[in-house]
Amino acid sequence: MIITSTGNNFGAEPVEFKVVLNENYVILNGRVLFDRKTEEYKAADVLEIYVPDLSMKRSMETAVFMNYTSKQYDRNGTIVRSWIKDKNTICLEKVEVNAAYTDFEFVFFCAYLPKGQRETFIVDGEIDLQIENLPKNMYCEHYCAYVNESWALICLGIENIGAVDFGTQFTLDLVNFPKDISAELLLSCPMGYAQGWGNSTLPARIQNGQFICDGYTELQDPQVSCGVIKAYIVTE
Amino acid sequence: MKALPSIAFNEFRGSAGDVTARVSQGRQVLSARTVPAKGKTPAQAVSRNRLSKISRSYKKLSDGQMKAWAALAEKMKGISTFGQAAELTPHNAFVRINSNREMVGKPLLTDAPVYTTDVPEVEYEDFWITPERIVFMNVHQPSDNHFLVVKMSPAQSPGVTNGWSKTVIVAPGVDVEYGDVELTERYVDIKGFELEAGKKYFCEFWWLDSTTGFTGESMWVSAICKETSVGYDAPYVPRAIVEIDEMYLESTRNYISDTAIGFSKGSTMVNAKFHYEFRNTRVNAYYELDNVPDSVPNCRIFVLGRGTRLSPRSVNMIRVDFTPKEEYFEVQVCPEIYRAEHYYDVFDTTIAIKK
Repeated sequence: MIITSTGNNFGAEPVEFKVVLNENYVILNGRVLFDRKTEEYKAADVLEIYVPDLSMKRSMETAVFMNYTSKQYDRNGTIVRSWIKDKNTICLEKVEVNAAYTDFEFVFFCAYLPKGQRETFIVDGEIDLQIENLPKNMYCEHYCAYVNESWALICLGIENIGAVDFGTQFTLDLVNFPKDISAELLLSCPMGYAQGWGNSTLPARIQNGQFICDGYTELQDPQVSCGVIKAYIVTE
Repeated sequence: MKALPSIAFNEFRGSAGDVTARVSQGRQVLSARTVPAKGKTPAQAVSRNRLSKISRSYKKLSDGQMKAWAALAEKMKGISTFGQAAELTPHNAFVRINSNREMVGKPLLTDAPVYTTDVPEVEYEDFWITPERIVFMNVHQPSDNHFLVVKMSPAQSPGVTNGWSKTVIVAPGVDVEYGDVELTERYVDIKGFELEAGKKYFCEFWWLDSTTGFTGESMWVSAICKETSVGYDAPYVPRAIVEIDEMYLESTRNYISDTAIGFSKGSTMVNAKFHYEFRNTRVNAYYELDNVPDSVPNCRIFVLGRGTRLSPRSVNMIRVDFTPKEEYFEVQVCPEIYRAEHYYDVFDTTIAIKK
């Protein structure tokens, strides 16, 4: 289902979220562009997005991606804490980055959960995901996926992305992943050396049973060697 | 006070020497004069200041507002222990409602709220007072605006039958979190009381509607501190959470702290929070834990962590394996892709998968 935010405290435009509302979890997909120079953003200690009633009134913290652009390193990003404060408020941690960065957005492919519960837990439902047809010398050894009637989760850790040249799109086959699930995602690439600007962020998507990444730019070339993706995808 | 020459006269009021006289229900009552203890406790000072401030605010109300509070007071007249309607002045009603609201952080209400009697009793599934915890489980919270107020006594001897006068407020308006009300920290750390096995505790609790300031009927429970519950004599079932304050593995120089990894329904979803450091090149860490709840399954999770030191704001994927062993529970932590950053804060949700 789709909900539209009713407001926020940091000067962003209204945002549409695809959501799954369940008494045990809330899953959100959406993107929020914002400007750090607004008075509202500067005044806020915690960023808040106001929404119609959610299915839980409080959650533990989860990770939401925050992306930004720098002239030196192109598109970068990190993760910020996010939590449900009450039935109508989603909170985001305010993380400061270099003042020269621009084009900020929050990217939600996340789930919100309550505190651990008193239950008997059955570990089940994971699909038998296999990764095939990687570009030569690229490899992916850490992955998993889960699919139900409302949402899916995919985790990938891809190494040696530098096996392809910059500007080159690359593709992996996600064997056993439903072909009718598609989503615009991002591949987040931690760098091999110490620095403070976050991960390089590469546009990517899942469609027709494949993971397709547009590749890295020339500015990102020295930094990109591996990438991680972890996304809850609303499918209903 | 000017004393009348003889206490044989009616309407003798005031104190003379060690005697205090008053008139109650048409009768002369003499009692030993009580001398208040010198000084106030900090809590008493805060409470009295708060009440004074609220009380003074009443005088600033308009005539119309005061009439409304008078009408409310008329409706709010309670029944005393002996079946007689208790006096409740408009001022009392104003102070009572606003002191209730202030307990839960609400601002002063100058317009009298609409009278309602439907603040319900407290319904809950069970209640533990053990040497380690005080917990109400599966509390039915009427709405997000209802907060629980709890009074408890310090430890009493098991033979004490009436310790109600010794109760003090330990929770002046607690929100129900995920169905539970946990009072351990408030009781032990804030009040400085101890939980002692075999001792008796007196508890009084009720709902407070924060929008109106009205309260529901008090529930009264006295219970002996023991391992099993008050209601069903059942052992406490902890939530499926792996918790580690901090652990450092000398052999591999791996450190983990502030850990709470909780398992939830929904094909077993997991919320993970921890701080992890590997202080040399050995990224894998195996932690051996006691007291992990039986409900924590044998499984694996992948979560995202954010760098905190060498590459702040970098993001990596971290694998955590949970394995019950014969004599302990093993938790293995491993950033899957070796990067420059060795220090991570994890705050993420995921699903549990088979290893």
